[in-house]
Amino acid sequence: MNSRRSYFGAVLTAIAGILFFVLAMPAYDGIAARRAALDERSQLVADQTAILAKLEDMRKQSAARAGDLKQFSYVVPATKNAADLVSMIQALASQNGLQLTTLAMGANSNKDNSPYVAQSVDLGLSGGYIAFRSFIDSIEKNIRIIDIDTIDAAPTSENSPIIGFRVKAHAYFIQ
Amino acid sequence: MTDKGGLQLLPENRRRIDVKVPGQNRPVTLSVVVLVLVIVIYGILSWYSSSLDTKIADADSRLASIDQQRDKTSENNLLILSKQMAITGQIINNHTFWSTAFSKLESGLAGSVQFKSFSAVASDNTLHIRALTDTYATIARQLAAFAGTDGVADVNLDGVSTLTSGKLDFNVKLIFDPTKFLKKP
Repeated sequence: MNSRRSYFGAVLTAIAGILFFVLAMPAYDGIAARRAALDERSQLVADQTAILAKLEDMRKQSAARAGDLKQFSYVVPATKNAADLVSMIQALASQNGLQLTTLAMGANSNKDNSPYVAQSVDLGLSGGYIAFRSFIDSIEKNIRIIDIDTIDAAPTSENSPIIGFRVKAHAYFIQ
Repeated sequence: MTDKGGLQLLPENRRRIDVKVPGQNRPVTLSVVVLVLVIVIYGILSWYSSSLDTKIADADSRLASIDQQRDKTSENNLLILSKQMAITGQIINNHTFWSTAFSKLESGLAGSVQFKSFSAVASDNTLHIRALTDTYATIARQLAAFAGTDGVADVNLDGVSTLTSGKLDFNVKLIFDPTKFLKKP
């Protein structure tokens, strides 16, 4: 009789052991994984909430200074804006008494994966030196930044007061 | 079974006599306790696991809600603005001012020197000038003036030729330091 009880007890203990390894242990492991997932999500929620609040704050600030920011965006525009560049160069040339004889825009170049793209511009101009100096001043003070790479100047004909200028420059935009 | 005079020597029916030994049920009791304990632990773990699942689902829904609250257009505009601010300072620092270079050259120009042509290349830091003048002394003065110009690192006289008119046609190459020659004063 005692041995039967012992066998029964051993069987129950064995069942308890099996249940522990089959049910309880996987459940415990699952909890560890769930806690890690919950921690990760909680951190994400906290981070994203903070980022959202910052973005909202920045959005309000930028809305309050929309005018200034619009002006600022002309310095290095977000897009190529070739049409604006052409009309701007033409306007600067005519305002300073130069004739825009040729205008070509070359390929965009991006050095060392920089966050901006340089748009090359090749200009042919004719006029006097004083007008050209004034044009250079205007280009340098223009709200959209244009850097001049090369300047070539020579009279259009022997002893002519009209000088032909060739200017290679580049403007910038964000890629 | 023999019955001699009413005396039964061996019992006809055997009765089972249970002898209770203290502690005989202990193995069974212990194993039941262990089994119940395992089941209880599993129950608690299952409940806790389910609770964590609910919390994870809640966090997921909060993340989805945050994502819906995002104003993607506004974020993109801010991103562009951030790039513009980072880039603009860098580009302004490297902005070339040829007007500075021309002002410097004009201030050192001898009166009798007449420019015929010039060619300036920022990437090579060179400025080629072709000019006319009357005498070699003027050329010498002009070279000295160029050499003394702020930002000019070197002056090379590439050649002088005498024209039929008697004027001297000379070519000069200036090598400049762009950090001084092409920068805003």
